[in-house]
Amino acid sequence: MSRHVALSLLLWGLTLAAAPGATGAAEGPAAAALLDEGKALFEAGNVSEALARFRAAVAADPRQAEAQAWLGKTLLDLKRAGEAEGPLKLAVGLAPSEPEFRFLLGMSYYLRADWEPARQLLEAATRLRKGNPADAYYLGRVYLNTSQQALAEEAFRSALNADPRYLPARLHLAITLRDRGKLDEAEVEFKRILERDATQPLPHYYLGSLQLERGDYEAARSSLETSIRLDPEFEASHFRLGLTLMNLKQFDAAAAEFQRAIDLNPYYDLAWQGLGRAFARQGRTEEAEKALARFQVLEPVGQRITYLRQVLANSPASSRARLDLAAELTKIDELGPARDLLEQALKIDPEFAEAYARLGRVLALQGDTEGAAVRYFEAVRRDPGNVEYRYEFGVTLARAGYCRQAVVQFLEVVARNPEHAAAYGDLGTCYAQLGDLPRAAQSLQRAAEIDPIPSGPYANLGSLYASSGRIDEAVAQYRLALQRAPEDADIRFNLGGALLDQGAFVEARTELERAVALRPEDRDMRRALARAQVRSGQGEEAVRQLSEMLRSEPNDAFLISDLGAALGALGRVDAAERAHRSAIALDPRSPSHRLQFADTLVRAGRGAEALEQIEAALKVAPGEPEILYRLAAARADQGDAAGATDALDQAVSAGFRDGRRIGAEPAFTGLRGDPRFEGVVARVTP
Amino acid sequence: MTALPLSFHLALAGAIVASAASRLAVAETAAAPPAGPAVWFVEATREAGIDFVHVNGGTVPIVIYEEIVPGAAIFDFDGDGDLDLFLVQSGARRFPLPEGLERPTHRLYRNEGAGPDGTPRFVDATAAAGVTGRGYGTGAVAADIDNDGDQDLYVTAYGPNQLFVNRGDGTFSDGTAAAGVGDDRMSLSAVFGDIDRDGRVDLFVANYVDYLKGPEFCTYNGIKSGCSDKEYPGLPDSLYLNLGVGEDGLPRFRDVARERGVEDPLGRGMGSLFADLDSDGDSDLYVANDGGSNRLFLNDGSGRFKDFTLMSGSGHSEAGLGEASMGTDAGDYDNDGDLDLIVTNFARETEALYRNDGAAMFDYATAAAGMAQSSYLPLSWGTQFFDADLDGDLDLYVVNGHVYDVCNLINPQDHFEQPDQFYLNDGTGSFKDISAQAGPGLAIAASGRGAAFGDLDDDGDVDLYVANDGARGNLLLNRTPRGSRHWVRLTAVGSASNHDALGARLLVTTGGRRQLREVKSGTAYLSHSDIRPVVGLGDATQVDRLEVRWPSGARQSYENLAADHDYRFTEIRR
Repeated sequence: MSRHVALSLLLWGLTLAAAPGATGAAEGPAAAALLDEGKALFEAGNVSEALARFRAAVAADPRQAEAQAWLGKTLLDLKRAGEAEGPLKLAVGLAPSEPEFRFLLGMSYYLRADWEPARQLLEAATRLRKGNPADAYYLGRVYLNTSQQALAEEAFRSALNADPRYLPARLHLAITLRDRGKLDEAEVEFKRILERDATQPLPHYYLGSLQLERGDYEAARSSLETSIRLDPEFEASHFRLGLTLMNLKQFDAAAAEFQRAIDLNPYYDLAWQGLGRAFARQGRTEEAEKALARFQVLEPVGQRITYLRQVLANSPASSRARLDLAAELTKIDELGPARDLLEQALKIDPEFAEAYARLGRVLALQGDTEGAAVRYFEAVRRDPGNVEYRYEFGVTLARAGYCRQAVVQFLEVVARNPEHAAAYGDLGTCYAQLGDLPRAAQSLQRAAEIDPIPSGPYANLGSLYASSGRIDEAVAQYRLALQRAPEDADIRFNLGGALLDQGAFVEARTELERAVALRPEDRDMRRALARAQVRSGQGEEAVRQLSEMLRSEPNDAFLISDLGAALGALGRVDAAERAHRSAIALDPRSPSHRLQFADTLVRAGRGAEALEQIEAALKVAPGEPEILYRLAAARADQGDAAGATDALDQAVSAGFRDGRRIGAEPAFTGLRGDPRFEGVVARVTP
Repeated sequence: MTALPLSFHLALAGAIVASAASRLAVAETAAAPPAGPAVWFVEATREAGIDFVHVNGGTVPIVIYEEIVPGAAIFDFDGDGDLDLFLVQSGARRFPLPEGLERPTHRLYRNEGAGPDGTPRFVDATAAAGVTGRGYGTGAVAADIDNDGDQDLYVTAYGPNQLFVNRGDGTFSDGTAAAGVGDDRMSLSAVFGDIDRDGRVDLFVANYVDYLKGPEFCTYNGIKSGCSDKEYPGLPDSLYLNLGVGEDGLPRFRDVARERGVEDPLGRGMGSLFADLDSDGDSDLYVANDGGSNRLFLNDGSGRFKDFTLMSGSGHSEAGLGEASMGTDAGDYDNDGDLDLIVTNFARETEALYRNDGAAMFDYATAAAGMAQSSYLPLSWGTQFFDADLDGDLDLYVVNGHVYDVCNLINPQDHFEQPDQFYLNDGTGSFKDISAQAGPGLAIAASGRGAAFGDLDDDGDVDLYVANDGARGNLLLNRTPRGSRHWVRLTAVGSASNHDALGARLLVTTGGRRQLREVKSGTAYLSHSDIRPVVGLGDATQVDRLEVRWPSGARQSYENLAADHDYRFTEIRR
């Protein structure tokens, strides 16, 4: 911890120690004795024991104002300002003309940054007790915090009138003068502080900063170097010295100072910016860009992290400080340090539910979903009413593949908060994965009703409908999703695919063109676009596109197969056949290439050969419903009605559900009306 | 390089000399300042016939869009050789006007020339010119968009912006729809510049915040007030590429901000300018943003930009923090041959004076230039470099005024109405605040916003009009004692380059001194100044050499130009 921080604490502690006695005597010997014992323990530094005595004293005699005041003061010393408020209010009520009690009560508000009551009480204390520097000093601090600089200046001057050696008042007077633009007077005050005591780094730092702002760079350098000599770990001094050296055109030295500040505090965003600028002025462009990039990452959180590091340094036993710091580090993906802090927080306070939840979040981000789930479980166990912990627990379970357990959590969330759109959305996704499509649709619809803005529920619903063959509904949902996220390439890709299934080839091509424009490196999207181009009469364009992709991936069997399909559609059967056979040779285990070959053969009027290819595909992937369906169509095409119906029956048994496709299949024209065929068709429900 | 013969200049100068001398003699006897002031500005609004009062809507307390207006433009709309005045009106947006009350409009004042006392006389030409406008006006900028030799006008607004195309006879037609530049978001500054050097000026518009996505009022220190910009999301800016003129004779534009790299989608754009900040012959873009980093976009020569802000050091305070920036201007205040930047900031933030090292690397020079203390408390808006005393270096004018009308209740040290500031350049790269000695014009306390600069009384020095929020503006005439100081005014006319020669660089050499000026539009804040530089020569009685670098890349030079004249020079096509 920097010495300037220790100084502040020491000065604050000295102020609190000088508390006068109160009026009134203890009502009983026991209370008085306890009070005296408490005071002695407090002054000996045994604050916890002192607290116990004061508690006992007020229990023995609640109307003893002095005991109440000492109890409050001790709680303030233990940084429990909220708890101090009660006893101090009692003390003031019992002894309203006692300025010290008003002062202490004012401090309980001050320490919680509740400025208005602090102001009123401290003003009252100064009226009751003229000439007490601490009253005026803290009143000045309140005025500063409420931007009343003129009054702040007056208060600090009043404190100094009472005690010209009161250094905190002089320091803050100087700061206030600087804030009021009275730079000359501010400099005088900083120098006065140093005349009295030049051994503290903080006044040198402030003076140096002021000199920097005034353009007196050599003086600033001297002051800041002194500050650093007195406290080499004072990161702000290194930073300001770096700025000073930049103005002196000593960019190398400036870079060294910025680097030192960063070494002391790696999250010092402004130091990274300074370092980048120093490198830039030296022509070290690559290093400059790296440093500036780091600044941009840290900029949103750097100052808060620096503040929280300070808080933690002041309160090393604080689990809350660790949690807050971990939260900020998580924002910039510093997951390792965040995890360490949270684990420390839990060692300090094993019942800290929020810390478990945050640790779960960090572990999830690190990819440890199992570990995350365990931590969320602990968070929920300790705070079962917390809807967000439970929701995140559900999300983590779902990601880890435990959708059944995730559903339990999501249902609990929506039971407690029926407007939790995200929970409904994730619930729907889980139901879909579990195969409960009606509940999935219901949940996703509810999510969209509650919060129509995100695209996710609509997109997921679209996928749900698409997977169950309800293509028209899928298209409608994808369009709703795209209204909300027009730049989402995946949704556009899915819409394109659904439009292909619908037979809207030109529209499909348009959507897939847009998807490819959004994500040109996506191979699957480009393949889908090629298919749409073939179907919409732009076969040459598809061939060109696929050929271009093959230049960088010449042994991609899927691309070669797609090229074969495109060539076949253009009637270039020989070239198509060569491509198909090449794809099959490269990748004999994939049935897709044989299916595409079969399509080309059918188009070329070679149905028997097409049937052979499909039978070969089935050998590679037995029981695959799509291949069984294709087999049915191929057999029907060859006049084998019974064989076709058998294959279709097997396809439906294996899960084929696209009734629309069956209804539109030209090969089945001759089978319609056949009772056995119709019986199979009836089993397919949209 | 082509040097025109001296005889040419004498012939040109002949007709000018006499009239300039007589005006000069009259000006010196009227409103004479005390002996010895470095500069002297007098207020002459009513005498000049300007009765315009800006209306901001008057919500109590005023809300954010009412706090940040208006601007003004100085340009020659009727081509008669003197400078006219266009004053932006805002009006009421929040409440409908009471019945019977006419909506207040913009005002265009035609300059009728100086009267016997040297004060220019203006008459209201708004209706005849057809520029009454619609919507809640914010700023204005002028340029010859269609290269037909007259000045067109673009007015920004909270609501649809408007493009008024000059017909050449002092009247305007509304070309907004045809041009596609009627953006209806909260637009503030607009500037013209030829980003791709195709001879047509393009248009950048800085958009501020999405007002409807934040609260109307906020509370600071327990006082109800208009809100800080941080309560509202920023808006992307627009860069309109000039596509030329359509069959109807009206210009056409296309917004290319995103593809050209200047959109800055979250920025809260206020002031902006085009200037060649890295001295490579093209127009770079600088945007002053409220409450965050400003932006420096360097042009690669083809009209595509790269964000160079962080590397350049021109986006933040000295300590690296974003500031609440409003107005901006570029000028070579230290006469080292490159353009420096000035940016005005909020109260308790100094103005940012960025000194250029020549390659668009900037030092934060506010303190070194002596401006830190005096610029710390005021809340500043419009600002411009100009040579007020004609001694050969650029001085600085800063318009001040608080943003919250209840600021005094929040912090008793703050005041809604504040006097402007004048910084005198001492010739060594330092400035001194001499506002208290700069004449009655600098003693006026108002809530100023925009400012437009130009020689309104045609006496060889620069005057200005300050646009005040919700009040009358102030016409300030420069009555600085001339002594033995001289000037030239330079009008560049492009032919291969855009007609206004925006982006042209002029290097004026007198004795051993070289002064750099660049022809630019917009600047200050929401305002437009006369684009013809007035160059102070000090005691020199001639310009030894004038070098012109046209936006097209062509170069010309002229020698031995006698002082105290206007010079007009045209780009010679090769």
